[in-house]
Amino acid sequence: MTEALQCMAVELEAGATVVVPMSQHIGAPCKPVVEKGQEVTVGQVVGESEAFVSAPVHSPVNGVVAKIADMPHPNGSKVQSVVITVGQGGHKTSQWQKLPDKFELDKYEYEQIEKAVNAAGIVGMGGAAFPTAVKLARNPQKPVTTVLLNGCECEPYLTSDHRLMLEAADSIVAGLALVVKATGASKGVIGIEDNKPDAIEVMLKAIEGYDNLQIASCKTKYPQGAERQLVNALTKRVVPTGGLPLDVGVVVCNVGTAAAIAWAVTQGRALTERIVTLTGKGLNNPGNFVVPVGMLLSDLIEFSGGLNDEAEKVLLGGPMMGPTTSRLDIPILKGTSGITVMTAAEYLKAEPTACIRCSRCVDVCPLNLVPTKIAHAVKARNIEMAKENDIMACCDCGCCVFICPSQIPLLQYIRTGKIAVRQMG
Amino acid sequence: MTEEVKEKMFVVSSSPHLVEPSSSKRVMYEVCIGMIPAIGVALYHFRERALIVLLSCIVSAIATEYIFNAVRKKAKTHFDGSALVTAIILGLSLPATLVWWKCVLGTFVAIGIAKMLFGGLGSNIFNPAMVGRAFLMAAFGSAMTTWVFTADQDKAERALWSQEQISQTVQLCAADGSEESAVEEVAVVSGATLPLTGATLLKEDDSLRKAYKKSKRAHDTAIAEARAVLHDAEESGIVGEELAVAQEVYRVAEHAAEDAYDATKKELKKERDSKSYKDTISTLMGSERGSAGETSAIAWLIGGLFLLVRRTITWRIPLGVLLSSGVIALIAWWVNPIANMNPIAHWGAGGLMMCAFFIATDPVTCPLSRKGRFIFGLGVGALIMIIRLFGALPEGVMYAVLIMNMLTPLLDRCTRPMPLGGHVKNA
Repeated sequence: MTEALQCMAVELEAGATVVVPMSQHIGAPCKPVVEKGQEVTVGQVVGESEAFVSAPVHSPVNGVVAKIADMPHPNGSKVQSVVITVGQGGHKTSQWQKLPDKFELDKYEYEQIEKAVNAAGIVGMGGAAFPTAVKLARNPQKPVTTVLLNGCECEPYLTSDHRLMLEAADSIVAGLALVVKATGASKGVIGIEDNKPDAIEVMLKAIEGYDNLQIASCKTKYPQGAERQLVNALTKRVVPTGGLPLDVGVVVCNVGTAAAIAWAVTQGRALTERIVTLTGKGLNNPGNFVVPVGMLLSDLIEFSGGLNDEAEKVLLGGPMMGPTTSRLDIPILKGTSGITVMTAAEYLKAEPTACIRCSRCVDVCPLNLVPTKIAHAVKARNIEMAKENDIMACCDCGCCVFICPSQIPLLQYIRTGKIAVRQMG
Repeated sequence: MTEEVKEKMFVVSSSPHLVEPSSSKRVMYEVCIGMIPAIGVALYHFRERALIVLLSCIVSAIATEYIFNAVRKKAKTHFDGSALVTAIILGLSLPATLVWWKCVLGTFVAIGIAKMLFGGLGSNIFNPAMVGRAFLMAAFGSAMTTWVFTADQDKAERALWSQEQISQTVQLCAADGSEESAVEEVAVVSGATLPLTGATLLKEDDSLRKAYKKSKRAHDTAIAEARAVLHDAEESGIVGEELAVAQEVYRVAEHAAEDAYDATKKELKKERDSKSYKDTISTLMGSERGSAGETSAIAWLIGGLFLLVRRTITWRIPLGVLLSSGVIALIAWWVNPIANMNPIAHWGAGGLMMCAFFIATDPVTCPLSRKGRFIFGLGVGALIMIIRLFGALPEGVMYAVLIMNMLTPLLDRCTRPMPLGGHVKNA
């Protein structure tokens, strides 16, 4: 699955239309600020919100608003979106991986950085899509000491972060320096898995000249890229269950987010394009692609080389946590880091058999839970027992299902149980 | 993209979409592969007897599982490998001389009662093989503690017999009833008159320990009695020559007791010393009397290392068992090397190695957490040594495992790992 990594990321133009959903982030959805028939240009705001936890959305192309309607969204439902017919000149790609001139950190003040990040609509690009400006907002009760940059792929198969580090190291480092400055932290650490020595080398070169930045190599394992695991691996601090890294004085950003911050602050560029890994045996031409946010998945797959006949399952993300989609007429979002297309042979699994209490799920659980006990409590409809066993701490990583020799859908039981717990209130 | 592909319905499911290609069946068959060295040793030493025991157990285990599933109209699980594992462990823990129908009965109890009646694989609380063995131990005590010599020992011993003696024994047995019990009877009868059967190493160790204790007791009693006599004499107010005589009598008695005690100790020490090196080697290599499969510690060690390398089992239980039993054996040996066997021999003797790697590690009946499993292992090892050193039985693997099985739910509860970041605070 690493063939996608070998090549430079390929820039793709949008198809005939792009769809810009008003909700691409955690928090309040935006309200459209354009009308049907209106002409829009690259980077123009098409939706914004007054809410604190939100991020504006921008047009990735020059074109005309075709309609504003509820359109299919990667989350499976329909979400209000601005549909734009791509006009002449279409999507204008910028020199995406480069910073234009010499970057001078001293030119930028805290307010300026936060404002630029907010205006650019930057959200966490590792997948969670939490509005970045909210993370940068200073909280006197919870001072930040360390900014961690997540250069560990969040999933197996995905290589977009790795590729970005190789191609846009300077932008990433500039972004980190800006975040460190904005949060008032004393240092910034870039965590990179030890199976990416080339990225470590490039990044080490890029941080030269910054006294407060460092590179930390961490063990290659899944889920190393999860916030909780990364904070624990790099700072030895433990984020309390139900808490945020901020509770232990840490802010975590994805490398893609850092690069976007650098571009937003230095060039005022909105978050309208991102790098996406296309991977899996169901694709003809896997690789990393730089695409406009809002590009339809069907266009992306077609332009990249299309599906082969064995394609059976399309995942929005990697193979461990990526949700499936039955349709391809959905847009790429700010938080879409990869698309995995699997063949039947890759995912077919046997019928579940009885739990033999081998405790492999207990051994692999990154949060030290006892998955088999929780799952069996849910199966027996004993939600109280599931709660006692900390069902709500589960992060859905799927390691327990991966390892289970009895092929028991442990995580599926746990998800069912979580819904039941939420319903109980 | 062709139209056909565009029309295609994609599969929708919840993550994760990757699974490791493993199965419970594979786990079970790996355990069986791990037991091949021990099976080989058993077949080499006990020839067709071990084969009959093993085959009786295997066939009846699979048949029992099939019948229970058929009666309860459940999915067929008889080839999922777990019945095979139980059958082989049970078979290897029985004396090779056990008649086939007793093996079948024991297997029925193991699979049918200890496993299937509890709900089948994964639901049993006790190790099925150990329950089966416990049943046989209770039902056929003497047959279960009759240990024939290994084929090599047998040959060597028989060479010393006269032809006449053998025919006498065989006639004796033939006259003594049913064909089935003949083999056992040969063992028992000839064991009494001729060395065809013998004590296991642990039994010998037990006997030496008991002989030591008996002699110590005799010594203590004799001295106490003599002292009482002297005391009475003194109380009665005798003086002069009479008192001197009484004191002399006491001294003689004391000396006699000390001498007897010393002589016994010397004798026991001589026996220990003469056996020590040989015993240690023979328990490791497996040329000692014992259950069909538990004679060779090395064979189990090889199989156990295979399981560890294959990650079929984790190291915590074996380490726990070996650690606690080793420490207790070492202390006992250090305190009194006459009464107690050396720790290496303890590790090698009986079913300890088999238990450490193959019995105590049964995933179904041991705790889930890492800490729990380690404590479980420590408990099994400690109980084995307590039963061996202080109990009425020479060997304690079976009861140690069954007792710790009972504690598994408690250990599960007490050793639940703390979630990273603490428990969820329920509002």
